[in-house]
Amino acid sequence: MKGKIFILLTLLLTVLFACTDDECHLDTETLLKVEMSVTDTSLIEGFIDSLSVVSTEWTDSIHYQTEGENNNLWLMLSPANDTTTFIFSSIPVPGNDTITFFYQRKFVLLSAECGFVTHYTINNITYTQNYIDSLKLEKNIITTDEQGLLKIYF
Amino acid sequence: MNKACLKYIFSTCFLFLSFAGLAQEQTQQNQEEKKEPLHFYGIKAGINIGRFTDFVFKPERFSLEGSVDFNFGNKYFAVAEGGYSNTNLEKENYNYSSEGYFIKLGFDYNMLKKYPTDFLGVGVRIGRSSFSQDANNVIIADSHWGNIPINIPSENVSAYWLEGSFGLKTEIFENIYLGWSASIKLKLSGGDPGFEPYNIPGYGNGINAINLGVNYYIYYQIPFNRKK
Repeated sequence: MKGKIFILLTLLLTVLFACTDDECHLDTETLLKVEMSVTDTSLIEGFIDSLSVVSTEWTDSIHYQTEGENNNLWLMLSPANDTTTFIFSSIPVPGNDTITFFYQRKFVLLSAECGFVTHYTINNITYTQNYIDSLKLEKNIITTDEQGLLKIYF
Repeated sequence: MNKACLKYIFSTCFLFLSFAGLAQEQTQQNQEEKKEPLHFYGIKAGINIGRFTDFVFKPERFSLEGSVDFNFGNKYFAVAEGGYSNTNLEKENYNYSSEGYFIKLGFDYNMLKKYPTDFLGVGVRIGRSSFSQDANNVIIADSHWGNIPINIPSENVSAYWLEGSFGLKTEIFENIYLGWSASIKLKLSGGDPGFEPYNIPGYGNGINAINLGVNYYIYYQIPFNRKK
């Protein structure tokens, strides 16, 4: 009986080791999911479909029609600074809104193969209210395992 | 066959060796347990031979770990463990290094009733590590923000953790023991809020709130006041 127990214990211990290779198979992206809701009846027609999100440091912008789905977008905060400002604009309406995130960064060596990534903890958000009615930060921690979540109500 | 697979095979062979020794002891010891007062039965000093496999499996790391236990009635053991670890990673997108020491204090409880010299049981430890770390020439690649260069100067960090273990030790030759233990480590505090340690000596990757580990030890029983 004891022999069987020892064999079982051996199996239990040895499964702690897995065969892995030297490639990076981990998710290295850190994303803030943005869920948008349009309740202003004057904005509904084409507002989301024509939405663009830009940051002053970018050479290009996020276009909802190509990078969004089901009124959702995924943003990346800047790993170079403790603040990031995004400008939300839409062709059917003049002007725009800006959202600024204030956060703490944590540099993490994810694995020897994957290298460094940045994790974020959002502490505060400021925004203009030309078209944004309100917003709610549901999840303020952004890691490679866990997306942040921001809800914007236009 | 990659390095992790080789480590798997090494672990399996080592475990069967230690079980074989314990099974042999089982045939020799067939006496009923006797209640007796708790006596001090001596000291075992050991070295973690699993660390030497780092030369093959983790060439970026050099570490040493030793252990001393004080035997009370072959039932309770006061345990002190300590070690040193040095990690150097030089990659295309970053250089990382850490170096430091750790100490773990705790006790083991032997669940065997019929083996006056062997051990099969559980233990608990509290661990502390003091180490330095730095990273330079780091490039964080981001699809929207481009390649961001950062440098993190050397800093001194400490960390605490709680550790539970399960394992066995069996006498394979006179006063020479072979043993292994599986451990689960729970980080209590420490690290740097801006730079998570990749290697906390004695604990492992600081990004994990819980780490698992396996240790392979060879011990020498100091022949002093030993129960036979």
